[in-house]
Amino acid sequence: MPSDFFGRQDRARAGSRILIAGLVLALIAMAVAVHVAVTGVSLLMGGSASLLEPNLSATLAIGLVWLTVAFGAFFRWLDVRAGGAALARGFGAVPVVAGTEDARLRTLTAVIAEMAVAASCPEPDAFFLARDSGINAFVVGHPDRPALAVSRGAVERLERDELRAVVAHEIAHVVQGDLALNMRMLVVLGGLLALDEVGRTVNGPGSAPGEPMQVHPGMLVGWPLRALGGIGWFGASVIRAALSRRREFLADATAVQYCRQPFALATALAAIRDADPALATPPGQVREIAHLCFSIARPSTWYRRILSSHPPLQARIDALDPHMDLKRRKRASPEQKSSPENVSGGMIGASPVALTVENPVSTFVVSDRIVLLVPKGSDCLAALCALFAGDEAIERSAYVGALRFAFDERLADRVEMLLPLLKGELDGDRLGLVEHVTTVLRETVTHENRGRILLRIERLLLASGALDICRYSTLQLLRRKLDVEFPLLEQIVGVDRVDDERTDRRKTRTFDEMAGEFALLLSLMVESSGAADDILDREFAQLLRCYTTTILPRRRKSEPGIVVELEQAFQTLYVQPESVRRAFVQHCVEIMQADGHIARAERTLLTLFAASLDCADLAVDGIARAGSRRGDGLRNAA
Amino acid sequence: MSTGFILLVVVIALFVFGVVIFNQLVALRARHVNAFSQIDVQLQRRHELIPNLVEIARTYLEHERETLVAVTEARDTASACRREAAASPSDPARVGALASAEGALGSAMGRLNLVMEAYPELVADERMSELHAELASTENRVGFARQAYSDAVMRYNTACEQFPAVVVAALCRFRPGVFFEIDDLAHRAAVRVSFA
Repeated sequence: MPSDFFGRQDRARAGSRILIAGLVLALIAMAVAVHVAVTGVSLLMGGSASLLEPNLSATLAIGLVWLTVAFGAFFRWLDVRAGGAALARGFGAVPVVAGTEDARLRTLTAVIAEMAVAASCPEPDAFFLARDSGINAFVVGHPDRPALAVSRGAVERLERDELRAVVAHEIAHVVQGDLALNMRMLVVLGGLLALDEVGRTVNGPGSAPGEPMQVHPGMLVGWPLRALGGIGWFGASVIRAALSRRREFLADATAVQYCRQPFALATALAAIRDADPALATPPGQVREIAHLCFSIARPSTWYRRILSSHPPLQARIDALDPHMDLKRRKRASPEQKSSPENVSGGMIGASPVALTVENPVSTFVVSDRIVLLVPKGSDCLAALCALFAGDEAIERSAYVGALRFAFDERLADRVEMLLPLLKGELDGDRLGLVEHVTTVLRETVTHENRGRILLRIERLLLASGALDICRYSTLQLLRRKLDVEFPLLEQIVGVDRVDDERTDRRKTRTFDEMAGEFALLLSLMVESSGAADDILDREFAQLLRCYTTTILPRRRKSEPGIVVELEQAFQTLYVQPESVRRAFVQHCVEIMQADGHIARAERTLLTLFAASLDCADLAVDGIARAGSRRGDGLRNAA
Repeated sequence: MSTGFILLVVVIALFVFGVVIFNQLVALRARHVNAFSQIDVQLQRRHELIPNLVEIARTYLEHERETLVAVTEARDTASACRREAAASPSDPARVGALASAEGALGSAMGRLNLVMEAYPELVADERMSELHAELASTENRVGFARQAYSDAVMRYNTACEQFPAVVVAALCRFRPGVFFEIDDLAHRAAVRVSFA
């Protein structure tokens, strides 16, 4: 099964039930309010005996209010009842005739027929929005004979699979009863709006500006009516919008049940997300049927957003396929695609979504010394292993021992020999070393073996518990430079499916929303300075306060599962636009500079981290600035 | 309130509950039978299209009589199986026979397609490409109908097996639905309509 769409349907349905109950409660509350208001006025005027027993005039007044609502609802029902075809034509759609000459429209009719079969429902009438160049679609009309309209943009710009997914979404609205629900909602709203209208009429024409307001007894009735109608309408609209957002998720999950292609639906949504915002359908244009559209432009202000009929596109994409962007990139560059067998090891071998790099990372200048020290492939391999050796002598000997075990004697010997020679490079020019080593290895070692080597190093580091953020960044950088997939990705995909909270992180876009990732990386960076626990805690809390008001716990590299989270945080960051990544690295630079000097470990970490996010220049600039400000501090540290 | 009255209320409540469950099961059974008839409709459409395709191909493929005969025969067998299965969609033997016949038809069509690729003028024939597009869409629809049927069977079977519906299902002899699966992998792989 492509994903747990039945489960998601159940959750969305449960959510809508709560909201429908909310709407009913709101209407009951309104009924109580009407009763209390009318009998209250009547009591004040000395009419009724009590709240529970209104006199005749009060009863009449209550009856009148409800009669108004009923009439308003009835007229709205007459409007809504009109057939889907008439409504669709009202939005400028033209019917698509069977056997049309246009190949794209033939495709449209074919996919509608396919999805109707998949949904086991009658085929809706197909309509074409010839003038709408955005990507959109909607269903209108009576549930028994709906009209499905698809925009020109959708027919022209979407692949067949994507178009089918969009059509499936619309048919899902019909099957899940959203047409009927929308109709009832509109009728309720129409009734409430009628109250407001009547109140307005009773109040009479407003006075011109500057003139004193004319007060007349009718206003005693008119204003309460308007207030009731207005508040009721607003409340009902908010609930309707919330319900509609729920139903969008339901329709998405149901569409996946029909077309079994969550990826196609996600890419169709992404096509709207990435399209020119001017082409997006503004909510005002299709207010009545907004929540039966495929998508609607997201309002920019919060108060309009609570009335918005659609959830954010990114949330919908994430619910369908949190790795859609990564997979799409992968598919877009087939020439770099390597078959899963290329890299041995269970984790990569089974990975359906192995990730490759399409933009080579910017290159760094390699010093002559490095070229002389490690000229050949075998030396470079040793140098690559040396990148992960620790600073302490004990750590180093343990690492070399592990290498001896995991690789072979000669390599371990060579690493042991290289470590003192490369001390300067490891301390101050890691990027240059990485650059040289990866260039040589790309030429001398096959892709498959490069993957094997990195995987083995990664496992070795994982097993010895030495995979801290610095080594992790080095690994990331090496993977990208060596064109090797991210081996942990599959593991994360597995984690995402069971853990919804984690998938939520993927949709994060603004800096503030990435507080979780930020805190994780921040904790590990702070920890890299190696100070005592309480100092680290204090430092972390202090730093975090500069960036966010949320209190987040400090994470430790010894926590179980931290590597997966780190990988996730890194992936989240890596798919963000460049501006976001740069901002993030900039913050890290600022953090490192916060205490006035950049220690060597910090500097190493920063350059590696920035380079693995493709923002090496920022780190270099930051360090240079810190160096020029406090040159002596830096020299001492180095 | 006497004990007898309470007992009566409990019995009535149980009865009503049982009736509700019974009705739900009936509805689900009807839905999955209907879903099967959807497959039937699409298969019928496919079976109607194939003779037309063979007819057009015959004019070009004079030396491939065997392949064409195989397709026609497979189509006739599948068509007969379809009629039988449609008569009693809950009979596992007939549904299985249909699935197997469909598999055979699929592989015969696959061979025909392979053969046709060697005749460019046949590929270029306008009627042929239209027919092929139609057939491809029908194949899709068969697939989606099967998927809808499987979903319906799954829901019905799950409902039948859950407590307390399982009691009602056992008492009223609700038989579990049969999945429509083409189990021969060779058959499954061979269905291929592509060359437009």
